[in-house]
Amino acid sequence: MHLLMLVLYALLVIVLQSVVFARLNIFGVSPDLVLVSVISFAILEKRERATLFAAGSGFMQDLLSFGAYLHTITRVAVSSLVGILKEGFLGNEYSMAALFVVFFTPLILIIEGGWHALFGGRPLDLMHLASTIFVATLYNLILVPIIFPILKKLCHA
Amino acid sequence: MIGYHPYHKKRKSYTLAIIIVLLAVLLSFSTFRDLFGLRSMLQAAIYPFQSAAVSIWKGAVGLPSSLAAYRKGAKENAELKKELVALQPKLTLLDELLRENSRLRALLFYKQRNPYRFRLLAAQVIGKSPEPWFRILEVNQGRGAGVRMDMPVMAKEGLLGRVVEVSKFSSKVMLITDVESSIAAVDARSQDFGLVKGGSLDKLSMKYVDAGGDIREGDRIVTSNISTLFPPGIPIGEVSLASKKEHDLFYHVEIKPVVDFSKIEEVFIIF
Repeated sequence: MHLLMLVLYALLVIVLQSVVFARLNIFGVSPDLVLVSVISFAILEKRERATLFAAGSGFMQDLLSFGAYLHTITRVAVSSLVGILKEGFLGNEYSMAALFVVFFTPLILIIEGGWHALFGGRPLDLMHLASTIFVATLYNLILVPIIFPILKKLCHA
Repeated sequence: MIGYHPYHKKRKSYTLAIIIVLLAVLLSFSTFRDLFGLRSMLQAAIYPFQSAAVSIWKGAVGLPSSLAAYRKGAKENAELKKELVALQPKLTLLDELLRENSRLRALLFYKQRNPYRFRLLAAQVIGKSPEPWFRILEVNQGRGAGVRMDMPVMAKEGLLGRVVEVSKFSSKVMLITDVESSIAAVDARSQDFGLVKGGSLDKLSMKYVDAGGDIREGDRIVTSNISTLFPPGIPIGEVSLASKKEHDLFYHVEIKPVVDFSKIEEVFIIF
Protein backbone atom coordinates (compact mmCIF):
# COMPACT_ATOMS: atom_id res chain seq x y z
CA MET A 1 0.00 0.00 0.00
CA HIS A 2 1.23 3.47 -0.85
CA LEU A 3 2.53 5.44 2.15
CA LEU A 4 0.06 8.29 1.64
CA MET A 5 -2.80 5.81 1.45
CA LEU A 6 -1.53 4.24 4.67
CA VAL A 7 -1.54 7.59 6.48
CA LEU A 8 -5.02 8.42 5.16
CA TYR A 9 -6.32 5.03 6.22
CA ALA A 10 -4.85 5.48 9.71
CA LEU A 11 -6.45 8.92 9.97
CA LEU A 12 -9.81 7.58 8.80
CA VAL A 13 -9.66 4.75 11.33
CA ILE A 14 -8.82 7.12 14.18
CA VAL A 15 -11.61 9.56 13.28
CA LEU A 16 -14.14 6.73 12.89
CA GLN A 17 -12.98 5.26 16.20
CA SER A 18 -13.35 8.48 18.19
CA VAL A 19 -16.45 9.88 16.48
CA VAL A 20 -18.63 7.04 15.21
CA PHE A 21 -17.65 3.88 17.08
CA ALA A 22 -17.37 5.66 20.42
CA ARG A 23 -21.07 6.50 20.00
CA LEU A 24 -21.95 2.91 19.12
CA ASN A 25 -20.79 1.57 22.46
CA ILE A 26 -22.44 -1.27 24.34
CA PHE A 27 -22.25 -0.91 28.16
CA GLY A 28 -19.61 1.79 27.64
CA VAL A 29 -17.44 -0.50 25.49
CA SER A 30 -16.69 0.44 21.90
CA PRO A 31 -14.87 -1.68 19.33
CA ASP A 32 -11.16 -1.17 18.78
CA LEU A 33 -10.99 -0.46 15.08
CA VAL A 34 -7.29 0.34 15.32
CA LEU A 35 -6.39 -2.99 16.89
CA VAL A 36 -8.34 -4.94 14.26
CA SER A 37 -6.65 -2.90 11.51
CA VAL A 38 -3.19 -3.41 13.02
CA ILE A 39 -3.71 -7.19 13.22
CA SER A 40 -5.12 -7.37 9.68
CA PHE A 41 -2.33 -5.22 8.33
CA ALA A 42 0.35 -7.29 10.07
CA ILE A 43 -1.07 -10.40 8.39
CA LEU A 44 -1.30 -8.85 4.94
CA GLU A 45 1.76 -6.63 4.76
CA LYS A 46 5.52 -6.81 5.26
CA ARG A 47 6.73 -6.42 8.81
CA GLU A 48 8.34 -2.96 8.42
CA ARG A 49 5.22 -1.40 6.92
CA ALA A 50 2.98 -3.12 9.44
CA THR A 51 5.15 -1.84 12.31
CA LEU A 52 5.09 1.69 10.92
CA PHE A 53 1.31 1.56 10.53
CA ALA A 54 0.95 0.22 14.08
CA ALA A 55 3.20 2.96 15.47
CA GLY A 56 1.46 5.74 13.49
CA SER A 57 -2.09 4.69 14.29
CA GLY A 58 -1.18 3.95 17.93
CA PHE A 59 0.39 7.38 18.25
CA MET A 60 -2.71 9.05 16.78
CA GLN A 61 -4.86 7.04 19.20
CA ASP A 62 -2.64 8.27 22.04
CA LEU A 63 -3.17 11.86 20.90
CA LEU A 64 -6.90 11.46 21.45
CA SER A 65 -6.51 9.52 24.70
CA PHE A 66 -6.08 10.49 28.29
CA GLY A 67 -3.74 9.23 30.99
CA ALA A 68 -0.76 7.01 30.21
CA TYR A 69 -0.19 6.72 26.47
CA LEU A 70 -0.01 2.98 26.00
CA HIS A 71 -1.43 2.58 22.51
CA THR A 72 1.77 3.13 20.53
CA ILE A 73 3.64 0.49 22.51
CA THR A 74 0.86 -2.07 22.60
CA ARG A 75 0.03 -1.71 18.89
CA VAL A 76 3.67 -2.06 17.84
CA ALA A 77 4.06 -5.09 20.11
CA VAL A 78 0.91 -6.70 18.67
CA SER A 79 2.02 -5.99 15.11
CA SER A 80 5.46 -7.51 15.74
CA LEU A 81 4.02 -10.58 17.46
CA VAL A 82 1.51 -11.17 14.65
CA GLY A 83 4.37 -10.79 12.17
CA ILE A 84 6.29 -13.55 13.95
CA LEU A 85 3.36 -15.86 14.66
CA LYS A 86 1.79 -15.71 11.18
CA GLU A 87 4.72 -17.58 9.66
CA GLY A 88 3.90 -20.74 11.57
CA PHE A 89 0.15 -20.50 11.11
CA LEU A 90 -1.69 -23.12 9.09
CA GLY A 91 -5.03 -21.94 7.77
CA ASN A 92 -6.53 -19.11 5.80
CA GLU A 93 -5.97 -15.42 6.48
CA TYR A 94 -9.48 -14.75 7.77
CA SER A 95 -9.31 -17.40 10.47
CA MET A 96 -5.83 -16.15 11.36
CA ALA A 97 -7.14 -12.58 11.77
CA ALA A 98 -10.10 -13.78 13.85
CA LEU A 99 -7.88 -15.92 16.07
CA PHE A 100 -5.42 -13.10 16.69
CA VAL A 101 -8.28 -10.70 17.50
CA VAL A 102 -9.69 -13.19 20.03
CA PHE A 103 -6.25 -13.60 21.56
CA PHE A 104 -4.98 -10.01 21.57
CA THR A 105 -8.15 -8.09 22.52
CA PRO A 106 -8.37 -9.57 26.06
CA LEU A 107 -4.58 -9.44 26.45
CA ILE A 108 -4.42 -5.73 25.58
CA LEU A 109 -7.37 -4.92 27.86
CA ILE A 110 -5.78 -6.82 30.77
CA ILE A 111 -2.44 -5.03 30.23
CA GLU A 112 -4.07 -1.59 29.94
CA GLY A 113 -6.45 -2.11 32.86
CA GLY A 114 -3.66 -3.57 34.99
CA TRP A 115 -1.35 -0.68 34.11
CA HIS A 116 -3.93 1.95 35.06
CA ALA A 117 -4.66 0.09 38.30
CA LEU A 118 -1.02 -0.43 39.27
CA PHE A 119 0.54 2.84 38.15
CA GLY A 120 -2.44 5.16 37.63
CA GLY A 121 -4.10 4.42 40.96
CA ARG A 122 -7.43 3.67 39.29
CA PRO A 123 -9.40 0.91 41.01
CA LEU A 124 -9.89 -2.15 38.84
CA ASP A 125 -13.29 -3.78 39.12
CA LEU A 126 -12.81 -7.40 38.02
CA MET A 127 -16.45 -7.77 36.99
CA HIS A 128 -16.15 -4.63 34.89
CA LEU A 129 -12.93 -5.95 33.34
CA ALA A 130 -14.51 -9.33 32.55
CA SER A 131 -17.61 -7.79 30.96
CA THR A 132 -15.44 -5.30 29.03
CA ILE A 133 -13.26 -8.13 27.68
CA PHE A 134 -16.29 -10.12 26.63
CA VAL A 135 -18.08 -7.26 24.85
CA ALA A 136 -14.91 -5.81 23.26
CA THR A 137 -13.74 -9.19 21.93
CA LEU A 138 -17.14 -9.91 20.45
CA TYR A 139 -17.35 -6.43 18.96
CA ASN A 140 -13.84 -6.66 17.45
CA LEU A 141 -14.58 -10.10 16.07
CA ILE A 142 -17.63 -8.72 14.25
CA LEU A 143 -15.36 -6.11 12.64
CA VAL A 144 -12.92 -8.67 11.19
CA PRO A 145 -15.05 -9.68 8.15
CA ILE A 146 -15.59 -5.98 7.40
CA ILE A 147 -12.09 -4.58 7.94
CA PHE A 148 -10.01 -7.47 6.60
CA PRO A 149 -11.41 -7.54 3.02
CA ILE A 150 -11.16 -3.74 2.78
CA LEU A 151 -7.54 -3.78 3.84
CA LYS A 152 -6.80 -6.74 1.57
CA LYS A 153 -8.17 -4.83 -1.42
CA LEU A 154 -6.20 -1.74 -0.45
CA CYS A 155 -3.00 -3.75 -0.02
CA HIS A 156 -3.42 -5.41 -3.40
CA ALA A 157 -4.22 -2.08 -5.02
CA MET B 1 23.49 -15.60 -0.03
CA ILE B 2 19.92 -16.77 -0.61
CA GLY B 3 19.47 -17.55 3.05
CA TYR B 4 21.18 -14.36 4.19
CA HIS B 5 18.75 -11.95 2.60
CA PRO B 6 15.57 -12.85 4.57
CA TYR B 7 17.57 -13.04 7.80
CA HIS B 8 18.95 -9.57 7.13
CA LYS B 9 15.45 -8.23 6.42
CA LYS B 10 14.02 -9.91 9.50
CA ARG B 11 16.76 -8.40 11.68
CA LYS B 12 16.06 -4.98 10.16
CA SER B 13 12.36 -5.24 10.99
CA TYR B 14 13.07 -6.32 14.57
CA THR B 15 15.42 -3.36 14.97
CA LEU B 16 12.72 -1.04 13.63
CA ALA B 17 10.15 -2.45 16.07
CA ILE B 18 12.57 -2.12 19.00
CA ILE B 19 13.42 1.48 18.06
CA ILE B 20 9.72 2.37 17.78
CA VAL B 21 8.90 0.73 21.12
CA LEU B 22 11.77 2.59 22.81
CA LEU B 23 10.59 5.87 21.29
CA ALA B 24 7.03 5.14 22.42
CA VAL B 25 8.23 4.39 25.96
CA LEU B 26 10.19 7.63 25.99
CA LEU B 27 7.20 9.64 24.75
CA SER B 28 4.64 7.94 26.97
CA PHE B 29 6.26 8.03 30.36
CA SER B 30 8.84 10.78 30.30
CA THR B 31 8.78 14.52 30.50
CA PHE B 32 8.94 14.59 26.69
CA ARG B 33 5.37 13.33 26.39
CA ASP B 34 4.14 16.77 25.38
CA LEU B 35 6.67 16.66 22.50
CA PHE B 36 7.59 20.29 23.16
CA GLY B 37 4.11 21.46 22.15
CA LEU B 38 3.88 19.23 19.07
CA ARG B 39 1.26 16.98 20.66
CA SER B 40 -1.12 19.92 20.96
CA MET B 41 -0.46 20.89 17.34
CA LEU B 42 -1.13 17.35 16.13
CA GLN B 43 -4.36 17.28 18.11
CA ALA B 44 -5.35 20.53 16.40
CA ALA B 45 -4.51 18.94 13.03
CA ILE B 46 -6.88 16.01 13.68
CA TYR B 47 -9.66 18.34 14.88
CA PRO B 48 -11.04 19.36 11.41
CA PHE B 49 -11.43 15.71 10.42
CA GLN B 50 -13.24 14.92 13.66
CA SER B 51 -15.46 17.96 13.26
CA ALA B 52 -16.37 16.99 9.69
CA ALA B 53 -17.05 13.39 10.75
CA VAL B 54 -19.36 14.58 13.55
CA SER B 55 -21.33 16.70 11.07
CA ILE B 56 -21.67 13.78 8.64
CA TRP B 57 -22.62 11.39 11.46
CA LYS B 58 -25.22 13.76 12.88
CA GLY B 59 -26.62 14.40 9.42
CA ALA B 60 -26.91 10.67 8.72
CA VAL B 61 -28.43 9.82 12.10
CA GLY B 62 -30.82 12.76 12.08
CA LEU B 63 -31.98 12.40 8.46
CA PRO B 64 -35.13 10.27 9.03
CA SER B 65 -36.35 12.44 11.88
CA SER B 66 -35.45 15.59 9.93
CA LEU B 67 -37.66 14.56 7.02
CA ALA B 68 -40.55 13.78 9.35
CA ALA B 69 -40.03 17.00 11.25
CA TYR B 70 -39.87 19.09 8.07
CA ARG B 71 -43.58 18.96 7.32
CA LYS B 72 -44.51 19.42 10.94
CA GLY B 73 -42.03 22.27 11.22
CA ALA B 74 -43.60 24.35 8.45
CA LYS B 75 -46.96 24.33 10.22
CA GLU B 76 -45.39 25.07 13.58
CA ASN B 77 -43.36 27.88 12.08
CA ALA B 78 -46.46 29.71 10.94
CA GLU B 79 -48.10 29.28 14.36
CA LEU B 80 -44.97 30.43 16.20
CA LYS B 81 -44.71 33.53 14.03
CA LYS B 82 -48.24 34.49 15.06
CA GLU B 83 -47.36 33.89 18.73
CA LEU B 84 -44.18 35.94 18.38
CA VAL B 85 -46.11 38.92 17.08
CA ALA B 86 -48.46 38.64 20.06
CA LEU B 87 -45.54 38.34 22.51
CA GLN B 88 -43.61 41.35 21.23
CA PRO B 89 -45.54 43.95 23.27
CA LYS B 90 -45.20 41.78 26.40
CA LEU B 91 -41.42 41.59 25.87
CA THR B 92 -41.17 45.34 25.56
CA LEU B 93 -43.10 45.67 28.81
CA LEU B 94 -40.82 43.12 30.53
CA ASP B 95 -37.74 45.00 29.35
CA GLU B 96 -39.11 48.12 30.86
CA LEU B 97 -39.90 46.33 34.12
CA LEU B 98 -36.37 44.93 34.23
CA ARG B 99 -34.87 48.38 33.81
CA GLU B 100 -37.16 49.77 36.48
CA ASN B 101 -36.26 46.88 38.82
CA SER B 102 -32.51 47.41 38.48
CA ARG B 103 -32.98 51.18 38.93
CA LEU B 104 -34.96 50.64 42.12
CA ARG B 105 -32.44 48.08 43.41
CA ALA B 106 -29.65 50.55 42.85
CA LEU B 107 -31.64 53.15 44.71
CA LEU B 108 -32.17 50.77 47.61
CA PHE B 109 -28.45 49.85 47.63
CA TYR B 110 -29.55 46.28 47.07
CA LYS B 111 -26.59 44.04 46.67
CA GLN B 112 -27.43 41.57 44.00
CA ARG B 113 -26.45 38.15 45.27
CA ASN B 114 -26.43 35.91 42.26
CA PRO B 115 -24.56 32.65 42.60
CA TYR B 116 -25.14 31.91 38.92
CA ARG B 117 -23.32 34.89 37.49
CA PHE B 118 -21.12 32.61 35.42
CA ARG B 119 -20.86 32.77 31.66
CA LEU B 120 -21.63 29.68 29.61
CA LEU B 121 -19.76 28.71 26.48
CA ALA B 122 -21.64 26.22 24.31
CA ALA B 123 -19.59 23.37 22.87
CA GLN B 124 -20.28 20.33 20.77
CA VAL B 125 -19.06 16.82 21.57
CA ILE B 126 -16.71 15.75 18.77
CA GLY B 127 -15.22 12.64 20.28
CA LYS B 128 -15.50 10.19 23.11
CA SER B 129 -12.73 8.22 24.71
CA PRO B 130 -12.79 4.74 23.20
CA GLU B 131 -11.00 3.31 26.21
CA PRO B 132 -13.27 1.65 28.75
CA TRP B 133 -11.07 2.85 31.66
CA PHE B 134 -11.78 6.56 31.28
CA ARG B 135 -14.93 8.63 30.99
CA ILE B 136 -13.63 11.39 28.76
CA LEU B 137 -15.36 13.54 26.13
CA GLU B 138 -13.69 15.73 23.56
CA VAL B 139 -15.45 19.05 22.82
CA ASN B 140 -14.91 21.58 20.04
CA GLN B 141 -13.85 24.55 22.18
CA GLY B 142 -10.25 25.00 23.21
CA ARG B 143 -7.62 27.47 24.28
CA GLY B 144 -8.60 29.77 21.42
CA ALA B 145 -12.06 30.24 22.95
CA GLY B 146 -10.62 30.89 26.41
CA VAL B 147 -11.05 27.40 27.83
CA ARG B 148 -8.66 26.58 30.66
CA MET B 149 -7.86 23.53 32.77
CA ASP B 150 -10.34 22.57 35.53
CA MET B 151 -13.19 24.68 34.15
CA PRO B 152 -16.54 23.10 35.10
CA VAL B 153 -18.70 21.70 32.33
CA MET B 154 -22.42 21.10 32.43
CA ALA B 155 -25.19 19.71 30.24
CA LYS B 156 -28.61 21.33 30.20
CA GLU B 157 -29.80 18.86 32.86
CA GLY B 158 -26.91 19.31 35.29
CA LEU B 159 -23.24 18.85 36.07
CA LEU B 160 -21.15 16.91 33.56
CA GLY B 161 -17.51 17.20 34.61
CA ARG B 162 -14.43 19.38 34.29
CA VAL B 163 -11.83 20.22 31.66
CA VAL B 164 -8.70 18.08 32.06
CA GLU B 165 -6.78 18.82 28.86
CA VAL B 166 -6.85 21.81 26.52
CA SER B 167 -5.50 22.17 22.98
CA LYS B 168 -6.01 25.05 20.55
CA PHE B 169 -9.39 24.05 19.13
CA SER B 170 -10.58 21.30 21.43
CA SER B 171 -10.62 20.20 25.06
CA LYS B 172 -11.00 16.98 26.96
CA VAL B 173 -13.64 16.79 29.65
CA MET B 174 -13.52 14.24 32.46
CA LEU B 175 -17.05 13.18 33.32
CA ILE B 176 -18.24 13.03 36.92
CA THR B 177 -18.69 9.26 36.44
CA ASP B 178 -14.94 8.75 35.99
CA VAL B 179 -13.41 6.92 38.97
CA GLU B 180 -10.99 9.81 39.52
CA SER B 181 -13.78 12.38 39.79
CA SER B 182 -14.65 13.74 43.25
CA ILE B 183 -17.07 16.62 43.89
CA ALA B 184 -18.13 18.38 47.07
CA ALA B 185 -21.92 18.11 47.15
CA VAL B 186 -24.93 18.61 49.39
CA ASP B 187 -28.40 17.20 49.73
CA ALA B 188 -30.62 20.06 48.52
CA ARG B 189 -33.28 19.23 51.16
CA SER B 190 -31.33 18.39 54.31
CA GLN B 191 -28.06 20.17 53.42
CA ASP B 192 -26.09 17.04 54.40
CA PHE B 193 -22.60 17.26 52.97
CA GLY B 194 -20.66 14.55 51.14
CA LEU B 195 -18.27 13.76 48.29
CA VAL B 196 -19.77 12.52 45.04
CA LYS B 197 -17.44 10.00 43.41
CA GLY B 198 -17.57 8.24 40.08
CA GLY B 199 -17.49 4.50 39.54
CA SER B 200 -17.60 1.89 36.82
CA LEU B 201 -20.63 1.67 34.53
CA ASP B 202 -21.64 5.36 34.97
CA LYS B 203 -22.53 4.93 38.65
CA LEU B 204 -22.18 7.68 41.24
CA SER B 205 -21.86 7.32 44.98
CA MET B 206 -21.83 9.88 47.77
CA LYS B 207 -19.18 9.28 50.42
CA TYR B 208 -18.68 10.63 53.95
CA VAL B 209 -22.31 11.59 54.57
CA ASP B 210 -22.58 11.72 58.35
CA ALA B 211 -24.73 8.91 59.73
CA GLY B 212 -26.36 11.49 62.01
CA GLY B 213 -27.72 13.32 58.99
CA ASP B 214 -30.99 12.88 57.19
CA ILE B 215 -30.61 11.75 53.60
CA ARG B 216 -33.45 10.00 51.83
CA GLU B 217 -34.10 8.27 48.54
CA GLY B 218 -35.35 10.73 45.95
CA ASP B 219 -33.42 13.69 47.41
CA ARG B 220 -31.73 15.99 44.91
CA ILE B 221 -27.93 16.27 45.19
CA VAL B 222 -26.34 19.53 44.07
CA THR B 223 -22.83 20.99 44.08
CA SER B 224 -21.77 22.48 47.40
CA ASN B 225 -20.70 26.06 47.98
CA ILE B 226 -17.45 24.84 49.56
CA SER B 227 -16.28 23.43 46.22
CA THR B 228 -13.35 25.35 44.77
CA LEU B 229 -13.99 24.11 41.23
CA PHE B 230 -17.74 24.02 40.76
CA PRO B 231 -20.28 26.81 41.33
CA PRO B 232 -22.88 25.91 43.98
CA GLY B 233 -26.34 24.58 43.24
CA ILE B 234 -25.72 22.68 39.99
CA PRO B 235 -27.79 19.47 39.98
CA ILE B 236 -25.75 16.26 40.06
CA GLY B 237 -28.34 13.56 40.59
CA GLU B 238 -31.00 11.99 42.70
CA VAL B 239 -30.44 9.63 45.64
CA SER B 240 -31.38 6.12 44.48
CA LEU B 241 -30.20 4.34 47.62
CA ALA B 242 -29.45 5.62 51.13
CA SER B 243 -28.73 3.14 53.88
CA LYS B 244 -26.76 2.82 57.13
CA LYS B 245 -26.20 0.15 59.71
CA GLU B 246 -26.36 0.67 63.44
CA HIS B 247 -22.70 1.47 64.13
CA ASP B 248 -21.82 3.02 60.77
CA LEU B 249 -20.19 6.43 60.81
CA PHE B 250 -21.38 7.28 57.33
CA TYR B 251 -24.33 6.60 55.07
CA HIS B 252 -24.01 4.35 52.03
CA VAL B 253 -25.45 6.54 49.28
CA GLU B 254 -25.91 5.77 45.59
CA ILE B 255 -26.89 8.48 43.13
CA LYS B 256 -28.63 8.34 39.79
CA PRO B 257 -27.10 11.12 37.65
CA VAL B 258 -29.49 13.69 36.14
CA VAL B 259 -27.51 13.61 32.91
CA ASP B 260 -27.76 10.70 30.49
CA PHE B 261 -24.06 10.42 29.66
CA SER B 262 -24.60 8.15 26.67
CA LYS B 263 -26.59 10.78 24.79
CA ILE B 264 -24.61 13.97 25.36
CA GLU B 265 -23.99 15.98 22.22
CA GLU B 266 -24.04 19.61 23.50
CA VAL B 267 -22.30 20.86 26.62
CA PHE B 268 -21.65 24.20 28.32
CA ILE B 269 -18.30 25.23 29.68
CA ILE B 270 -18.64 27.46 32.74
CA PHE B 271 -16.37 30.53 32.87
